[in-house]
Amino acid sequence: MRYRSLKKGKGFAYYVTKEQIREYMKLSPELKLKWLEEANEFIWKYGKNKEIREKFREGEI
Amino acid sequence: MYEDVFRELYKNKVRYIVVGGIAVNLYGVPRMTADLDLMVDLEKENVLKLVNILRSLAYVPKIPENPENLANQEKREEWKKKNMKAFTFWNTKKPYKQIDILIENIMDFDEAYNRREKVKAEGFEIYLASIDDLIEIKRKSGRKQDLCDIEALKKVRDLRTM
Repeated sequence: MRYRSLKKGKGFAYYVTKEQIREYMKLSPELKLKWLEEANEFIWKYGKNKEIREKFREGEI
Repeated sequence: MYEDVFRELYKNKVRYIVVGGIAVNLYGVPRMTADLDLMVDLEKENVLKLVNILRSLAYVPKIPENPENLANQEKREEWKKKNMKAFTFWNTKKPYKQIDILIENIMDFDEAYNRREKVKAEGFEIYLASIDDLIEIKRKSGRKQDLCDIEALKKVRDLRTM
């Protein structure tokens, strides 16, 4: 999955393949919510560091 | 993320549907989002039930307003005139958690509620706007991420019919 930031206030763009969706659909709702929780907690803790934030967004972390 | 909220909404029979990025994610799109966007039955008793649940889970309004005013139609009209779209609550323990309640429903609530998708979790259900309704809502919003969501949701729809 690739995320791309747009100009400030313009949101973001992303792309996911059918295969990525197929895999993610297999997770239970609890696991999907947990994935979101962990990702958001990570961004909240370390998101002020631009390098880490960008690496996370690009899927490198 | 928001599991406690969904659990309480289900237990207390609050009439709501999830309409934002969380709904897209729960349909199976590995998409990041933090906010929980809800379209709710704006009938007074339903709104007050919702407000009490959010309060009990440490959510407070982002603006200096009594959250119970959300149940007051005149107040909502006043907010709309100020271009407000949603009443936002944030969590005092985990501030990245934010819940947006639409102050004006973008489609007929009863009809959308009847078409809702029930996602079964352990001991509770989560109610999502149907894929077609979600696509329609996202089409109206028209931001870049909404257009990406539409493309992803169409893929989900294809996979579900295979």
